[in-house]
Amino acid sequence: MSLLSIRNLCYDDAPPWYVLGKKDIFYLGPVNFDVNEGETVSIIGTNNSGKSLLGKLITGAVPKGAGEVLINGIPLNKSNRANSVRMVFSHSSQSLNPGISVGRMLEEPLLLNTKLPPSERFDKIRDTLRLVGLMPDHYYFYKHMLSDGQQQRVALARALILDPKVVVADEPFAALDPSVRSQTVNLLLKLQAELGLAFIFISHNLGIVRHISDRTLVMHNGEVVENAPTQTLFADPQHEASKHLIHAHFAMLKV
Amino acid sequence: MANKLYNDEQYPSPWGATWREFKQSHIALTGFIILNVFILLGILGPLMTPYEPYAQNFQSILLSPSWENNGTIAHVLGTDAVGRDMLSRILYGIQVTFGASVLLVLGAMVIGVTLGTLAGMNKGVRSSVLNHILDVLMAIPTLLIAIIIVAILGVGLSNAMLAIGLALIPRFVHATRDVVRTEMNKNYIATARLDGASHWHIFYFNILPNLIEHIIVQATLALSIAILDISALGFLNLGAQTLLPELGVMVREGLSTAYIAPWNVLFPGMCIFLLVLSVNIVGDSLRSAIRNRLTH
Repeated sequence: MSLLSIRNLCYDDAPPWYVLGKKDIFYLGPVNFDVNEGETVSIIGTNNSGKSLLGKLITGAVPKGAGEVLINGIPLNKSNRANSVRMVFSHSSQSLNPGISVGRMLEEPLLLNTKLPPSERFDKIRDTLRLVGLMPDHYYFYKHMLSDGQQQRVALARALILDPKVVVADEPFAALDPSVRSQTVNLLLKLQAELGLAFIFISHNLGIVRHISDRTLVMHNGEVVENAPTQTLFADPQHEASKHLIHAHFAMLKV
Repeated sequence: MANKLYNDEQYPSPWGATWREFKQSHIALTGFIILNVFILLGILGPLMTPYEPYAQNFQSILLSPSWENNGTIAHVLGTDAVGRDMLSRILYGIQVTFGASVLLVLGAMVIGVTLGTLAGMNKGVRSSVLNHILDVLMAIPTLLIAIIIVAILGVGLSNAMLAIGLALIPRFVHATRDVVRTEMNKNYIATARLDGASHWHIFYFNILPNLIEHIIVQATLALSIAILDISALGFLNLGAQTLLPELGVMVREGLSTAYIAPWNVLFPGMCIFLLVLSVNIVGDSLRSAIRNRLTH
């Protein structure tokens, strides 16, 4: 049995009755796929294809319409979600709270989801900071004292601090410059090897997708149109949408 | 072992950064010091007064301040038309005017922030009804609302405080709601919610640290309005009544003898002026300090 199974996951934002004249209802799904332990699954697709929404549905950031997300065969709900599936948002000025220190930011998930005493929380936070390549001293830092790359590492630390099994990352490298981006990619690969994490990785950057992922899903208009091992997909895309994306990617490489 | 070493570096919190930025400006610091002197006088003033504020002494009516030729050192700032010591009355007056303003601002702040948070964290019709009804109230000057409320409730210091407090609530509701709404849409609130945080937890841990400085700026602005309005209502004989040593009342009483004893108007007026000026300077500098603190 696979680690994470997604069964008939659906979403529609059909309006409540009192909202009149809302056009362009977005439907997603039904989506089915499996993720194994230590595997990286990438989701690619054009803008507005529902990639980020799928990520949010899996983590529960957006309530799902129908279907199930199973972890080791157990359906995810409010109480077991935070300990098993975590989300990293794309880097932006809003991804970290400017008013509280990094230590307090990382303490929050521990406070809410574990019963650790304060001293153990402190140790856990310092260990996690080291894990993502920051210093224990960063415990006392505030957002404005950190570089973009360090901020993204803090966001990653926040996701990893509860020892999750699956991490869903929505464009985690989008706003980072190439050198910091490669550092962060390498960090992710290292962590995956160390912790046996499964990654669901949502990105526009097909170069990184090809580099890190085992399997790739192509989304188009709210549906998964192709689900294949990355090498197969890049060598021989089947669906029209995948062909467009992949040919555009290779065309750019040739220039 | 590394954990056991003491930290010899200082990591300024957002508050530390604000203070560092604030004290760069000499004007801000001067205002801050004057305000602190007023706070001290307000608390300790009654312990330092040489005379009772109500004690009338018909032997010494309308004495000049002590530096004038016919002044005496026994009454440093002179006496008024019924021989009450000016200095004692001003020290009490600071307590009445400033203390009443601080109290009513605190009250309005607690109610306003609570309502504003509810309006900000709720969505849709409930939130906008609350907000826009209070918007209408914000279009009317607070003094006017206060006069209307006093007209209904009757004159007196406590009614004046109630009236001005009610008139100030919409400012806090509005400021709080704006901040809470923008905060609620940010990604770090979404991550907190994914951790299973309750509404209360989100407010207390994630929004309040960012909200508190906006509230403080808003409170200083409200405080200067409150001081002006309390003394204005006193001056118009709608607030504090004649016997009470309130700065606005003192200006009104001094007005009848203003030609022969101008210090009876001058000193309470100067007091109101300095109070409002220092509160405004501190509020304004605090606002620019908060805006600039993260730029360097």
